[in-house]
Amino acid sequence: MIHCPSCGTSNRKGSRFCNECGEPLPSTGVRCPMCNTINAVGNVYCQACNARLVPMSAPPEGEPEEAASRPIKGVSLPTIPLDSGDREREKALEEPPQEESPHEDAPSAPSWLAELRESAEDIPEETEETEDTELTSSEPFTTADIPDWLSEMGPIGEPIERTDVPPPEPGDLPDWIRELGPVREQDSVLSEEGHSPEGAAPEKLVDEDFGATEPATREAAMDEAPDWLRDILGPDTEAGREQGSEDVGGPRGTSEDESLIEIPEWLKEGGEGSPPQPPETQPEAEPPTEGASTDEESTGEEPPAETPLGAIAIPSWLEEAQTDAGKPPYEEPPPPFTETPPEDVDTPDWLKELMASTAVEQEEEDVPPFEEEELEVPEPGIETAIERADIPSWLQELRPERTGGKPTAAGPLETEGLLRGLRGVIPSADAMRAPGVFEGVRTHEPDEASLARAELFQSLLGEPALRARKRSVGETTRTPSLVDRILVACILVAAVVGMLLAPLVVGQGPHLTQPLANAGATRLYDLIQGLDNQDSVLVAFDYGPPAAAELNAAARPVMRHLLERGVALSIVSTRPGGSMVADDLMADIGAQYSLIGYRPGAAMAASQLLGTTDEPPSMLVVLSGQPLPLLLWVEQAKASYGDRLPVAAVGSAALEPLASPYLDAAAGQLTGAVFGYAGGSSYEAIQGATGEATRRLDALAAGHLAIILTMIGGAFVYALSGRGEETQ
Amino acid sequence: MIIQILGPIVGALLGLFVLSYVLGDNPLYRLALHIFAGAMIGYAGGIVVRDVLMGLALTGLLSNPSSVVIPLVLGLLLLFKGLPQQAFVGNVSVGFLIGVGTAVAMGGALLGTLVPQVQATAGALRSSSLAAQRFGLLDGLMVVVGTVCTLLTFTFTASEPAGEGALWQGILGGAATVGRLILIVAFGIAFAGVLTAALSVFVGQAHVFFGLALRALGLGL
Repeated sequence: MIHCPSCGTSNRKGSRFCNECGEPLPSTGVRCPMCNTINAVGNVYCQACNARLVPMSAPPEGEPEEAASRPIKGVSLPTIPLDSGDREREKALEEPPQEESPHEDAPSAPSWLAELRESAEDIPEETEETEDTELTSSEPFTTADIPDWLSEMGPIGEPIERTDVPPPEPGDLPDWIRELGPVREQDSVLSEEGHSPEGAAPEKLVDEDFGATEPATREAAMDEAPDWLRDILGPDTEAGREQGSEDVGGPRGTSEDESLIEIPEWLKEGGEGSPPQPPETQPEAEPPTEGASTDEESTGEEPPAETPLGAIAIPSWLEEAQTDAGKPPYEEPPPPFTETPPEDVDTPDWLKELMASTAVEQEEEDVPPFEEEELEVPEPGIETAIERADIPSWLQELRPERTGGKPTAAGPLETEGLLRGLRGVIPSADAMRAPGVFEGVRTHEPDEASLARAELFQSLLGEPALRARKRSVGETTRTPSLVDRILVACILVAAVVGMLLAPLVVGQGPHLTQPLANAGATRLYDLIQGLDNQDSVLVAFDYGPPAAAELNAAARPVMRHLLERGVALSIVSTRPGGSMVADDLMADIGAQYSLIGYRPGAAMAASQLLGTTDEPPSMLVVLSGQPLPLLLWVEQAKASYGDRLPVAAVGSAALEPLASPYLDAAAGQLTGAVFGYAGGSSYEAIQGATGEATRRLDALAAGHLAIILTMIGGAFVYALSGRGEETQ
Repeated sequence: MIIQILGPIVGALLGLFVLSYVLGDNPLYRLALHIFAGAMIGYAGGIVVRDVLMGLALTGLLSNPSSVVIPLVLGLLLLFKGLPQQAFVGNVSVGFLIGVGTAVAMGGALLGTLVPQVQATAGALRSSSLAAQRFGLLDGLMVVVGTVCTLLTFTFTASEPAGEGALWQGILGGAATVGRLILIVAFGIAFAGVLTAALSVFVGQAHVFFGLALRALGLGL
């Protein structure tokens, strides 16, 4: 059915425009109550979640009939002006159908009509509800419009006792009925009664009987038929009639029962729940007077004084049609509807579990009542085939509860998906909530060695801090104070400067030191003395300005000696500052030399420089304040030329201890060497001159003496101050 | 002329600034230190440009280009080390430098230090060697015993409690002890040499400073 969004009129499925107001009807669909998926109108189960789209019409036990019997919207019928007779008939229809008395007003009614009346008595409230709320069509809706299969869907909860009909034999019942057990007993009884199933009468009327009637008879029948029935039967009858009736509506297929009276799909499904009737047991039913009286007695209501059905004149075609009502309208019995969902057929597994869990939870706490505002408002254009009241009780129990965040059951609340709103549907894994206790299993005991090591380690940890020296109160590891440093500096400066300035005061007096010709200086002197102007000497200046004060004093006598010998000097340096020092020194002595300059690469430069020619220079003199340049030159000279290249060294006093092994005569790596002021003064002494090195050597000796005296004096003062005893 | 006058004065002042460290770290000392470091780096840069780029590369490029192509390419690749993203380009030059440098240093160390030193130690007790020494056999024994004991100092083996091994361990321990004493003396001498070198520098600077001062006063030192 399609409800008109403008006037609310129910229209037939497939209608494009409203029969009442002519407004275009939107496309239709059925929204799944579980997953909100839009399904086709004819779908019984949701195509997404397999939830049932059409409700079970049987009300649950214990609930009032009003909740189960929801109003059925009226069938869309063409709006025609009502004449006086129709108004009276409509007025009669407004009376409650419970007050009807079909037995009194239809003595000559056929058996099928009697059955119809009997069925109509079972659904009095439905008719009343329909007229009061839902019947919006101008065409009066009578009880006779309700098919018998719909009438059978009345108060299912109330058993119908048919004493005149024997109970069916178990062998006569189909399997599906037997499986339903006692729940379906009532339906089984009804099926034995021979009630017409869904649409049986209309189908027979349209398909067989009505169509097989002679034209004249059909015309007469059409004349007697009400307008709404003529509208429905119009297309088929129009062919047989020469003139078209203005009252007849558009072409409609009348060969199908669903076009005869528009029955919603969900209602068809509900109607399928009616008990099937075997074709061979379809009897010519008599008016069940006893059964009807039983119902009246059970309800305690008085029969109506006037029956609306009695006011309806049964046309002749209808009487003829009922004579051929012996063929079963369908062959396969539809599945019965039950108060609980069919477990084996319709309900998916997840829904079964959900029902079971919900039933248990329902016992613990009450479910809040159904609230209209909680339901989702269907979107316009989508037909809600399911009326809210048609939701069975078992589905009501499954409805998500909205209690404002108040937990109604144990377990987490599902927030999305099909189970949204449900609580405790998916049980939490116990392992996640279990305390993280790990019980380790020790499979072996530690061996003795491990225990011994552990005990040793434990004993070490237990010992106190290692023999920490006891400090006296106020003792600190302080650095020398400023006074101490100034005092030592003054002593040193006084010693050195005094010795330097002594010649100004006392003249050339005795010296603190007597220059001695050591072995290294002597061999160097002899080596240089053996050179002549034909020889070339390679001089490596590998010291910078910081060491120039010392090395210049030591190198000056050597370079003068070379200059005196007239050798060709070639100066090279593996340090950038060497060239500057060489320029100053050579300028000071006025020597002519060949400056090779700076050669980067240290050992590689020395190797490359020494390996350029097969004939080595006559001598290599290395002037360095650090051991590394001296070693690289000595090693590369030895590696390049072996013993053919004599190497001499002029270095600082700090270099002497390290270069002494090379100066060993057995090693032969250094032919001669001069280190510091001592070496320079020694060389000067060999030359028989007193030069700068000798003069500074006295100052150096004075400085050494001052340092020694300071150390002795400091230790003496320290001992006298008593601090030594305190620190013991 | 001005440079010849101001140069020694500035040098003397900077020397005093350095000596002011006796009072602790102070701005004068820092100033002198920065001046020396900056001047030294600047001078080194100038020397590199003059001697290497102009003297070697450019001269070689003009005279014999083929001889400097590979060094120039390697040198240019080395410049990529300054760019973090393209630093890998300079790996070729670095690899070449390290490889060649290591080979040269190893060859020089073997032929120039290790072999001659081993030969000298082995022949220290020869008569010819002993004759060259000042104290003869004593010097020879000192060389041999000192070298062996010093080497045994760096023998790290587990000691045995008893037996022949214990005797051998005792001998090794005694030799190591002697070697440690020799090392102590050697390190002491080396420290004394460093101290003497520092004091020599001080004496040299003082000599220069007071010489200039006295020369300015008309006195000769």
